[in-house]
Amino acid sequence: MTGLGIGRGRRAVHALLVAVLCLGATACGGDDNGGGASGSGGDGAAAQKKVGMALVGPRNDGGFNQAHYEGLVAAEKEHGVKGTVVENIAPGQPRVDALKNLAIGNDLVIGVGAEFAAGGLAVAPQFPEKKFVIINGQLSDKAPNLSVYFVREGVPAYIAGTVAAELTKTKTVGFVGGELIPPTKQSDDAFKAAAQKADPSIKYQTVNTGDFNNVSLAKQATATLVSQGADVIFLMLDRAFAGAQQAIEESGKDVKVFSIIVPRCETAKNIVGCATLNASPFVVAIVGDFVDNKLPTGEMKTYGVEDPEIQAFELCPEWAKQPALASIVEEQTKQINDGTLKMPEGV
Amino acid sequence: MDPFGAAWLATTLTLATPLIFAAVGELISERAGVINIGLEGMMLTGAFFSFLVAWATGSFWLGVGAGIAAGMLLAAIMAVLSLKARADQIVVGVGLNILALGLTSFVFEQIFLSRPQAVLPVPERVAVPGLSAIPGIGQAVFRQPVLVYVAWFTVLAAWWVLHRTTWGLAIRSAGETPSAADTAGIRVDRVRWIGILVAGCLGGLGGAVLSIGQVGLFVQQISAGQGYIALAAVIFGGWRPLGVLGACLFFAGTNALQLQLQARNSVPAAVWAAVALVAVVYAVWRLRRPETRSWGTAASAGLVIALGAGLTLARPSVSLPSELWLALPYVITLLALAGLVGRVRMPRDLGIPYDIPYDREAHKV
Repeated sequence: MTGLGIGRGRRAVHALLVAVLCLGATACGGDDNGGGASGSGGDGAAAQKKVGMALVGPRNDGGFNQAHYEGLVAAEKEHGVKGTVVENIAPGQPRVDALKNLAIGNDLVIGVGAEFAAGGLAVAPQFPEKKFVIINGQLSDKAPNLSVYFVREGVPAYIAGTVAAELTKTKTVGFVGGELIPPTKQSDDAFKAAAQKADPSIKYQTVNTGDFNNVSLAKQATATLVSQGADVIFLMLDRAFAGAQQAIEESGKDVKVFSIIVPRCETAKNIVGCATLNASPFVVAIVGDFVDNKLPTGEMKTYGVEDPEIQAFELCPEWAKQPALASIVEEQTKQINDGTLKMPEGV
Repeated sequence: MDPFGAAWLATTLTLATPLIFAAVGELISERAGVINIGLEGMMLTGAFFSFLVAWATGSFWLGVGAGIAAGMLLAAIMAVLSLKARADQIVVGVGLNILALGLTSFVFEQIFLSRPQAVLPVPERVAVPGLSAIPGIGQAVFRQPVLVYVAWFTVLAAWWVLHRTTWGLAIRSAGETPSAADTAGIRVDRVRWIGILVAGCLGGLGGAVLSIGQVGLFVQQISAGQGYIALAAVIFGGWRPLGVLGACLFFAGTNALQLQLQARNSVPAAVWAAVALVAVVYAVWRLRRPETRSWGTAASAGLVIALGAGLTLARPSVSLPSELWLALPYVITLLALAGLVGRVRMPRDLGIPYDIPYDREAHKV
């Protein structure tokens, strides 16, 4: 090959490299182009308010992220807003950048989860004319445009703990969590407190994998707990729930589990109940508050189990037929709501 | 229950298998002189396309083949850009990782977003006759899916090829002194091409293990940085097959250990004893040679040994936060790599493109 030929060839390959990198950068980020919450804007509906939502995981994880995404889709229909969603936002700076990018093109930015707490505190002051809602976030004096809706996920986990104490035969109860965020710790603390209050002889074990969607690690974490004798496990996982169930199946042991966000009762008989979070009406309510200019400022709006449409602990239908379990759930929900049963500190 | 028991062994082998495949592939590539930062992307594309084909065809082995092919395709792009175009190998690798992330996320959403989560059956475990009956560890170590045994065989095959065949000599020469290899008639670029393709093949296979081999499903970013851990394993293993195997087992073992330790209310005595043992091994390794002997090493190792031994005997009820255990594999990785800086020697021409001398152009090398 002559020097000229090598030069042409090299330029062509460099151009190919740039094109490939551009394709990769364009395909990353997961902006929605399909039905539901839309990624495109600027179609002349100037009065239409725009809502951007940031998710830490995929919108079809069958759990936390999907529930909130579906809420945005419902809010589009109910309040006539235009929604944009970005998903799979990695920890650290990407979460800050995601909120910033959403703020540029939207009137309201919703960060779904405590994972966006720090990002909300950093970005909200930079866009004083925009509104920010961080679910399970933190408030700041420097960000009056930042609102926090706090779902006390530990409350239904507490009820699950009492049920777990009733069910366990080995007197060993476990918790598998994902990312170490306040809701994970609150659920862990509440589940443990309730189980050991009901039966102080119960041995309690926790494993956190650091990721709600790491299926392989969740499988190993659950296998670890099962090998150490746990026969009732609270699985605070999204996509990784499938991995945890695989570990239980492969062990051949009778291990009962609780799920979160979305009841998965139809998928397996060992799922006793779920700390349900019906994020759809929750997100619709948030967007409604925004549209009506009623976003809370200065203090968090919190949800326990007082509104079963939003959050509750529910037994799966087959398990709900057991009077002892049904009675525990009904009684504890009532006591929590009327204040006679206090949650552990921090829950 | 002993934290280093059968459950820990079983988890270690499971976590190590995808690392072993990826790291051995990377070893071949780096011994040939090409640093393949795109290994993470190769694992991710292998994981996705193996899942896609297995889901579409119902065949596990067709899925594995697709994962290998996907990894090799990405490796071919790497080879064209880094060998033909002489682009910086690290830049190309980073670009390929971004491409893999975007491509797999995009295609996954197009096909699976509107469907319920698809979960495929994971392969049955195969028991090694006789060995699987060993009390205690038999079932944990010798009753594994087939690909676990294939991973171990891959390590042995890599050792044999690199050190017992002329082809292995060509690979090593291409990475150490490509000009000498060229003079001896070895086609350096061809050897490096093959090295990169082997990395893609085994990286894709490692990805297939992650998805259809272990959990039967795919989630975006399922590789979760394991390609980078595999890169570190090659360095930690000193660019030797058995060293790489040891490194992979070490990383997987610490990851498995942190799961065990999180589940306990206090740190078991066995862990303190293990810390002391590691310090003893390190001290012996460093102090036995005059050139690495120092008072600093002796003092620090002695302190750790005394602390470990003391805690083993005292058995305090110490509970450490989950965050610390989660960070443990990465902290140990950093410590291990830091301890090896300057003590391992990488292939001399790693990452340096080889420019064929002008006077051999006539031979169309």
